[in-house]
Amino acid sequence: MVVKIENLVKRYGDLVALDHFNLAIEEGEVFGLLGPNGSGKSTTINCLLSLLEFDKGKIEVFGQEMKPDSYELKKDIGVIMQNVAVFDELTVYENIDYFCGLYVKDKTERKKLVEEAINFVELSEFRKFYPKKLSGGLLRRLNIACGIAHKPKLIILDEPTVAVDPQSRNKILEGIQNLNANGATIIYTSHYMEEVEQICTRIAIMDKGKNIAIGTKDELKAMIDLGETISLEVLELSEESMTAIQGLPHVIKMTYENHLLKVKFSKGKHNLLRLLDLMKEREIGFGGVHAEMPTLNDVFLEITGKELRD
Amino acid sequence: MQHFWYQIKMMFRNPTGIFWAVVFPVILGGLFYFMFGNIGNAEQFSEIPVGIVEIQEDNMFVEILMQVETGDGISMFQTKTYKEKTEAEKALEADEVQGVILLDGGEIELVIKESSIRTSIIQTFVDQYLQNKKLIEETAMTHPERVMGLVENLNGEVQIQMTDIPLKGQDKDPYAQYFYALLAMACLIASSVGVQNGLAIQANLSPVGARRNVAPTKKMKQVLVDFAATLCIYCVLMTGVLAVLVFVYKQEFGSNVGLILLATWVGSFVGLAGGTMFSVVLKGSKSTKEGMSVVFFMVSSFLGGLQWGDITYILEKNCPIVNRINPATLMVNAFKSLSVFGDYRKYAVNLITLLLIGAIFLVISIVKLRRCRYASV
Repeated sequence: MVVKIENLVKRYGDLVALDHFNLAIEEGEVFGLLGPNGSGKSTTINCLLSLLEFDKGKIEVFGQEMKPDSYELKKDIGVIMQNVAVFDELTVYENIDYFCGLYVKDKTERKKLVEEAINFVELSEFRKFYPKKLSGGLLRRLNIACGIAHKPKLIILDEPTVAVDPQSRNKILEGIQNLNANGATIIYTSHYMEEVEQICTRIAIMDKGKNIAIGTKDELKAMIDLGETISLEVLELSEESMTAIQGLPHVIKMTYENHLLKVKFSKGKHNLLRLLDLMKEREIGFGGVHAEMPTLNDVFLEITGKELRD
Repeated sequence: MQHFWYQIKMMFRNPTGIFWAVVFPVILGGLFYFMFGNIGNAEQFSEIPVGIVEIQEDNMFVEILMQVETGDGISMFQTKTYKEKTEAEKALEADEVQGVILLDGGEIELVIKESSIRTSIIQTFVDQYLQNKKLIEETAMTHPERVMGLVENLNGEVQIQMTDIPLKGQDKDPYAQYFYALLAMACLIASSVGVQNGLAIQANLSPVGARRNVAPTKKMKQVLVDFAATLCIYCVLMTGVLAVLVFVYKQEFGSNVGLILLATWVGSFVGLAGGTMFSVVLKGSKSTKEGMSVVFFMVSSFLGGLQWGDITYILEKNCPIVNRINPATLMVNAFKSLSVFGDYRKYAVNLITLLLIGAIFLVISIVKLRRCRYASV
């Protein structure tokens, strides 16, 4: 077990930020903490890193209790904070070297690690740049390099792609998968469900400081009734036809807005065929057809009654 | 060593820190130089006019009063005798005399219009005289055979005491005090850098602080490396500031430049440690802590006599503890100990006190920081 959190409670005055939160992360996982802003993801990470004091609970990393002076444990942890944490007065190379130096004392080894980190985040041509001269995406990549240069076994990334352009985002996500492939266990927090779905092997969905669901993305999707959502472009649709569609087997919900018909089906076979047959039968003309499998947002919506994006 | 050099690089790449440490004191020193330059040359020590009203004659007191001289052989007091107290008081009111001494048998009373350096000299003399007189009388009662020897000793002591009065009268340049206070302020400006050091190690105040907190290097080590690096820079900067004051503004800091430099380095140590402590101990935002460091060096410098030279004498009279613990005053006194009195013991006492204050600030900072978890990040 790489990380074990038991009954973690953290209060900010009257606000309960973490409410008896539990978590167990195995070696080699890319573990996603997914939840809307304010759900407790960053608080969990900060408690895990012994930055925050908490009211109750126990945190273990690599089988040992995590404390502010757990220096041996800290050697194997790399952290990429939500806010970019670099010195404005140091260049790209110097920043990575500075932070790597807090972990690795040997100069030769550190030089090699810093070079590897620079190449990993593809900042070679910016090595002499000061942070203020870097774009948002490049700055995020520098932030990552500072956190992973010492080759940690556990890497914690707290919303590393906030305010990042799509190209840099893809590079960051690719990089995280490479780090995992090289043996690091990853904890990844985000409120972007697409990212979490894309890279995480297991996901915990958080809301109001609680772990409301945990599992692989397929396991999470299997927890809900929704099977698929079928969308059709329809020019006109009578009340009668709408009633007929609602009467089809497995239909959970149907909406028709701006010439777009959306039908949500529970799990079942031949839903699309049945719908298309009905359209043909009633001679209803339609354009594009699009079928969507449930997303993590649907999981969140069904469990909490609200959108993940809210 | 790697962090030490990076810290030094960061300091040099931050022009704001250097401006406050060097440019600001040099500009202010320039202003002092042009303001006081001519006045200083013109002003020489002059005798202090003292009114005497002998309700009952006290020849011995008057004789001693007239004999007192400064180290340069100038008479300390110029006496004017008045028959009536009211007449003397009129002279005092008209600033013809600085103080009126009423002699009534054994009783001596000093009347002054307002507190100043010159009235402090009169008061010091009167106190010393009364103390010695009492000592002689007591010895005459118990050991009459020792009286002569005692009187001889006390004569010498009166001279020593009077030449030892730490006032402008002894100083070649009466405005040197302002330059001493300016140099003290330059050292204490280090507190603003100390605050930045403190902010950069606290997870709840800076993202960099959070990153450094999760690293396996002990916080005490990180704090001390930052501190040592910035102190080294400050020592170099203060050497530069002192050089400008001595060579450009022609200020005299005594012949022992090494000890003056040492005092500025110790002063910078206190400033840095104070800033670090403010950033760690005080609650509030980053700007509150930065603001407090400015308040610290400005108030300390004011109490050390930067804006108003007489403040230290007023404090000495009414609240001497402030002068014993205020870093700027201790620095000014250390500079004076060398340049005015050549008193190495006083210099050492001031420096040791400063070192103790700085060490206390630093220890408090480290104790507060180590193994710390934050309420919010």
